[in-house]
Amino acid sequence: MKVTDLRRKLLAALAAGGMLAPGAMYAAPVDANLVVNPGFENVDTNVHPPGTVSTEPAYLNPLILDWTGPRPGFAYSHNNTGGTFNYANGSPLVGGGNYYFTPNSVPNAFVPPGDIDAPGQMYQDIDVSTGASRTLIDTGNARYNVSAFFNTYLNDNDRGAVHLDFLNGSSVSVGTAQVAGQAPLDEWAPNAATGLIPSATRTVRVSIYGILNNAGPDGYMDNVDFRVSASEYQPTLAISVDRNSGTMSLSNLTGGPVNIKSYSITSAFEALDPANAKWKSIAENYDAGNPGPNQVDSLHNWTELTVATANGDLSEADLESAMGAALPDDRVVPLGNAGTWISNPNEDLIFRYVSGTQLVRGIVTYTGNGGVALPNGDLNASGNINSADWVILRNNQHTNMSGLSLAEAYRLGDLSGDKLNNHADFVEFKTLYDAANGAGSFAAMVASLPEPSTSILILAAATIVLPAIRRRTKHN
Amino acid sequence: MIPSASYAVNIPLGDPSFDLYTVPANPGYAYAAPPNGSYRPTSPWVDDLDNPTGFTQDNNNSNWLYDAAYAEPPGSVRPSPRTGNQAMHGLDGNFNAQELTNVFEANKTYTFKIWAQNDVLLDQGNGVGVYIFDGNVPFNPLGTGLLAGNFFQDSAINQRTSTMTAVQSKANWNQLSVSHTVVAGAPEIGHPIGVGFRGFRDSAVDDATLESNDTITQVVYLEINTTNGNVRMRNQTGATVNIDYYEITGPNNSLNPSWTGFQNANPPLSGFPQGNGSGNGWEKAGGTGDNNSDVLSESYLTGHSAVVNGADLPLGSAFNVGSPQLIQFKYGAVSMTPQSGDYNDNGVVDTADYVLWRKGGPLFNDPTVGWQPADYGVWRAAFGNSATNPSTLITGGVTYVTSASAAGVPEPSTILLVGAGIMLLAGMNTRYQRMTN
Repeated sequence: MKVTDLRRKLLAALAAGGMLAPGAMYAAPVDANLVVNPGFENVDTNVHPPGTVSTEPAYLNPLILDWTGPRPGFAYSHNNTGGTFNYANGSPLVGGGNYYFTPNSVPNAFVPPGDIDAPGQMYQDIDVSTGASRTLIDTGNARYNVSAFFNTYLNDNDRGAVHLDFLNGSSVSVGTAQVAGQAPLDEWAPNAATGLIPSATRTVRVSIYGILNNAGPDGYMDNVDFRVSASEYQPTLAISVDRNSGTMSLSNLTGGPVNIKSYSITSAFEALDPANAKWKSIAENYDAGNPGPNQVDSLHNWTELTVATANGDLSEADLESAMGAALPDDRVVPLGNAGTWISNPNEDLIFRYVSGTQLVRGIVTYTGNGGVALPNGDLNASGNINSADWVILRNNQHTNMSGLSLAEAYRLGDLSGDKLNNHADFVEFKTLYDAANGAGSFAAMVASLPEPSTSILILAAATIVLPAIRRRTKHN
Repeated sequence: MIPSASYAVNIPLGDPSFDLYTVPANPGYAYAAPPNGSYRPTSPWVDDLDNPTGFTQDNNNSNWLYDAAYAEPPGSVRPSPRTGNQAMHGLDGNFNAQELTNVFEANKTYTFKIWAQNDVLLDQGNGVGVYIFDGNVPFNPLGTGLLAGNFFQDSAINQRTSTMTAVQSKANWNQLSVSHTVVAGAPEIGHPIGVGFRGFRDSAVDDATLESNDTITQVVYLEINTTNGNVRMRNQTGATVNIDYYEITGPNNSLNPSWTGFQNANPPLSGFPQGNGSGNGWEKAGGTGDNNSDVLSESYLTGHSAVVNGADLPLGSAFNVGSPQLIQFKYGAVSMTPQSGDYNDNGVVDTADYVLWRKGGPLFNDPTVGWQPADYGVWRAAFGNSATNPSTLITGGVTYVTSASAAGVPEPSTILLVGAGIMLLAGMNTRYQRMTN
């Protein structure tokens, strides 16, 4: 369980007990998690959601305390505490305590209250109208940093989300932000978001809910963190990837030094390029034998573990001492030139590293392209589908792609994932092209060519329609 | 060049109308095996083709035969047999198949057809499937021996209604079909022809047929001149075929990557715009094959072209003279979904449709049949809509001619000649149709 703001928690408890006006005397600090009961460890084990039918025993998941809103939330357990089930994928979250939040703990048959599947159903209102946070917010330079650990049920791909609503002094929203679980959620995986807090903000409503993909919204969450800071905060080391260029960097925004002994970045879509001109490995750029700017390990030599021709992973380790090095806080290490990530719509990277004795799932953030994934068919990763993509597809029709990775073949027009660029890919691209460029875009494209006949036709049509309307008016 | 043999040949099937085995008058139906009758020992439709991997026709879960009396209410709500006294009823998607002594021949297109009708009550299962398979490979609708298969949902099959008489039900069947084109060099050539069907609980079938046609009367085909290497794309199907893609494949070094195609035709072929690189017309693929095979391909991103009946389009010298005659041809056929407001039925709602409405019709694709002033609003709301669907890859035909045999086919060096050629072919086609009727 994470360290929490005990002072605020005490105040919240007093407020809840009617001993204190809510928020009245609270001065929110900066650089501290302002969420009360962020790890969902404070629960009432005597309150459970009802069974789906009267003959069924009640669920054993306990009621989560300290959060408010019209729909009460319940917890599952990492370790079956009190007989509460664990439905999350992978191993229990290290530092996750006994319980985690499930937005799907209440059967829909019992609406209300029902599943928690939208913001505003289960939340905390955090007062930032006084104290250090207020001072920072007034400058316009205050950042929100929101993060959590996410998981799901089997392959449901339901995703938990933490939603922020920035409310002004009149409780009117002046902005929103959100962070959600990011596939693949085959284990507990962190994600984080940051940005500027609107300067009129006086209260931040932190909602948690599940984004439904299959059946109930099994978007499990733990260790929710919201803080006001002058700089960015992330709970783990992170890989940042530029969607358009495919550059990559490793960053430590955890607020302190982090030991790193090895790491791996994997891609099921084979979208990684380990070539020397792309991947800037620690072994070749930042270790004892290859010192340079942003040196990571000045004492040991690292070894690349990735085969130079493989596209499924980038991995390396300090095999010399197996001790690694401490990555200082706020350090950003360029880890890949353009094309290290073979840009594509499948944002499937998994980043893991060994720190001390822990194997940690790190954060992967994708930047650029207006905050959205590249569209399918955008073969040159420009952000849209146009004739430049067509040129790539056409130039590679019926070329031999057998030696390429899935991502490499995709970038040359293999939209169907069979390492061929043939009729199937042509049809798929044509459909995407039409959809991206709007119905009738083909006609529009033709019309945009300098053809006087088009305007003449329109004029002719207009001259015909006007007398026609007049005539009919007379008849009526 | 209409070969004298270019008419449909019916290939006889065993027990095509399901009348060979007579079901017991009581109860009026029979399964493949006892206790409810036993059509299996005599019926060509249950010859255990995939033995021993679980062919289940010889148990009580087989499709079942029934007679005309059983079909009629009260007590039954089955389609009245289309011909003869019996029909076959589906059950749980079971298969019936048969293997013929006739073998697959190159450049033939085989079409297996069967009539189908649904029960009055649609509540227990969906559809009928029809299949053509290689008789040398155990029949499996998902297996390697399957050459072609079509599955028809209940919605694609006529239903007997509760008020229909036996006579009305007899006339209510609709024919389902599946086709397979055998190209030169195909592995199934010389193998026995296999046909089969499957049925679910709400559908019956009757009167199966199999016919073969010269491929060139069924699909667009390539005519390859082995004397000079010139290749032409021709259509003698009797209908326009809209295409946005084609590919010609052959053994390594059998095709010429400098062929002219549509993109480099000089003069350009009418109706086949030449792309400028942006996809606004026909453009050649960047790849032309590898060390194992050659591919010549062109595609049209932002539209499609009509290969009209009788079309004879020169693609230039695409065939390397002396190469083995193992060329394959496929094309992307664009189907159209009729669009409201496309009053002249040309596939797109455009100003020409407005002009037609102004002139008072007649209007195709008019949701309110007949000319009305309100049809203007329909046109306006639909303006710009296109009927085009993604193209389907069709196996085309390939024929080989020599300069001597091709003599007399006009070279379309002038528009006049093209027109004459089409008229000539159209005339021949009419004659062909008369012969088949």
